[in-house]
Amino acid sequence: MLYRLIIACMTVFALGYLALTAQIVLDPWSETEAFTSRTMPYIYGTLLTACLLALLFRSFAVAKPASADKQGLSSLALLLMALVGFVVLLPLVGLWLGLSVLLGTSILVLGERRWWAITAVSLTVPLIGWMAIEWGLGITIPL
Amino acid sequence: MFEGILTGIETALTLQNLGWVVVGCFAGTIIGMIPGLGPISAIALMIPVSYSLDPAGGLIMMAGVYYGAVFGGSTSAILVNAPGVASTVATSFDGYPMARAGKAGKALAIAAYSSFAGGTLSALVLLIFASSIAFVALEIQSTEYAALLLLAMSSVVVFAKAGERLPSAITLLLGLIIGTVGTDQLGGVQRFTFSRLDLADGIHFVLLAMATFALAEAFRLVLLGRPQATQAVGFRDLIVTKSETKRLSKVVARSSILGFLIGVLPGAGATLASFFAYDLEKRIGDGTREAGVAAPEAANNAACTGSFVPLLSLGIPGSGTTAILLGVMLAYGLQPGPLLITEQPAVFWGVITSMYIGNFVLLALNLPLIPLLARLINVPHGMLIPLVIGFSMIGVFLTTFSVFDLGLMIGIALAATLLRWHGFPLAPLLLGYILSGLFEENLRRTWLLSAGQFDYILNRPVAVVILLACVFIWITPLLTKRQR
Repeated sequence: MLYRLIIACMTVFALGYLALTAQIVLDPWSETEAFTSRTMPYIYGTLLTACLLALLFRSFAVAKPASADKQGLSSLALLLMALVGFVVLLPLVGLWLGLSVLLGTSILVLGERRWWAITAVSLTVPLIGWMAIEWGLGITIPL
Repeated sequence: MFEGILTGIETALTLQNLGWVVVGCFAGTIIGMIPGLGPISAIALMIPVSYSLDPAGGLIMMAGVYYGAVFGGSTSAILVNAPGVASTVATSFDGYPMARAGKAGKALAIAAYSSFAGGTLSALVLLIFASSIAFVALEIQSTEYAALLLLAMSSVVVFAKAGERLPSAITLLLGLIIGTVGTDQLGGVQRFTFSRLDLADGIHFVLLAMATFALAEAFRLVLLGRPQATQAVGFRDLIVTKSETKRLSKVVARSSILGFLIGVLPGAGATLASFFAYDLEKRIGDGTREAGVAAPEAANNAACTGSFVPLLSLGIPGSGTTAILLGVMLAYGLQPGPLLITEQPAVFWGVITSMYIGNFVLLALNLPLIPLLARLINVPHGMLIPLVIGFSMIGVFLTTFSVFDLGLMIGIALAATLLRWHGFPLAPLLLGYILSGLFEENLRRTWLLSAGQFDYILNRPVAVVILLACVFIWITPLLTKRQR
C-alpha cells in the first residue's frame, strides 16, 4: 500500500514539475528557438511520468520491503525532531553549540544512557571540529 | 624527452620537494576526509602555503594535495557511506557493504593499492604521451560528450539488476530533474528556484550526496535496526593474497586506462571515470565487491593524472580543481601550454615525475593508518549514527553556509530513505544529478552547432560510434530475452 502511495506521490511530483516547467520565464530572444531552457525539463518530466505510470501498473508484483518495528519508527521520529530542532537553533546559538546539542539529544534518542559518554562525545566532537576548521584551517563560519 | 624525464626526476627527488609531496599528500588526505571539503577546497586552502615555495615545489605539493584529497574522500565513503567527493560515490557502492560485513580494513587496503596502481600507471602514460594525447582529446567536442553521457546513463539503466531497471530509470530521472534546479548555464534563466536565492546556484552536490547516502543510511539503520559487524583489523588485513592480486591486477589495469582516457577529456573528470569503471567491471568482471572497490579507485586516481594533460600541455583546465591549479601557475608567472615544456622543463617534468612519487608517498602514509581508521566501524550504532549525522551537517553547512540547505537535506534524506526502503537504487539518482548540467549543456551546444540538422551528427564518426554503442546496449537485452 505504502509502495503504491510513494509512486502516486512521485507521479504528482512529476506532473507538478511539468506544470512548473511551463511557467519558466524565457528570454524574449529565445522564445522562438526550438531548444530552450524548458526543453530538457519537459523531456525529463514526461519520461518520469511515463516510467512511474508503468511502475504503478506493475506495483502489485513487487516484493514486500523489510519491516520496521514500532521502536524504529519512534526513534526515527525523535531523531527527526532533534534535527529540525538543530536547524531552528543554529541561527540562534551558532554551529558548534547547536552541534553539541544535536549530538547529545541524538545519542540519548538512540538509547545511550551513560551520562559521561553522552557529555564526552557531545563536547569533544564540536571542540575538535572548531579547532580543526576554524582554528586550524582558518575558515570563518558566519554563525 | 628522456632528458626531460631525467630533469624531472632530479627536480622531484630533491629533499625539499620530497618533503612538500609528503606535506601535500598528508594535508590532502585529512582535508579530503571531511565531507564538503573535497579536492577543490583542499587545493584552495593550500594556496597560501604554496605561494611561499618556488614554482616547482609549490606545484609538486599541490599535486600531492589533489591525490590525497581524492583518497581521503574514499575513506569516508567506505567507512561511513559519506562520499564527500563525487568521484568517490562509486567506491561506496561496494566499499560500504564490505565495511558493514566486517571487511573495512580489506576495503581500505584495496582502495589504497588500487589508487596507487592507477595513479602510477597513468603517471607513466602521462610521462610518455603527455603532449600527443592532449591534441587528440581536443577532437572530442560537445556532440561526442553528449553521446558519451547518454551512453553512461543508458548503461546504468540497462545493466541494472533484474527487476531494478524501471526503478533505476526513475531515480536517474529524479537526479536529472534535481540537476535542473537553479540558473540555466546557457540561457541564464532561473528554473524551479521559487525566487529563493538559496536555490539560484542549484542544489549542491555535497548536500545531495550526504542526504542520499550518509543521512539516508543513518535513518535506515535507525528504522530497521540491522545488527552491527565487528571489525578486528590488524596489519594482516592489509595483505592482498596472490590470487586476489592476480584477479585485481586485471581490474586495475583496464580501469586505469579507462580512467586516464576519460580524465584527459576536458569536463569529464574523475567522477565519470569512476562510474564508467565500476559499470564496466560489473559487466565484464567477476562482479566481486573487491573488484567493485578497486575499479573506481584506480579509475579516479588515473583520471586525476589524466586531467593534468590538457592543463600542462595546452593550458586548458579540464575540471574545477585543475582550474584552481591553473590560477596557481599563472600566479607563479608560468604560462601552461605547449611552450611550458621548452621554457620551464624543470617545472613541467618535475610535476609529472612527482605524480609517480606522490602516489608512492600516499600509499606509504595511508597504509599504517588503515587499522586505526577501520576501527571507526566498531563504534556502537548509538554513537556512530549521531556522529554520521553531525558529520553530514558540518559538511553541508561548510559548503553552503545556508540553514535552508540543512532543512532541504533532511527532507531529501527522508524521501531517499523511503525510496531505498522500497527497493529504489539511489546511485543512479546521484549519477543523474552529476550528469544533468553537462548533458544539457553539450546537447544544447550540439543543437546550436548543427542548426537542428541531423547530418551534422553523421559527419562526426566518433559520436556516431558512441551512439551506435548506446543503441546496441539497449537492444541486446531485448534480443537476449527474445532468444530465451
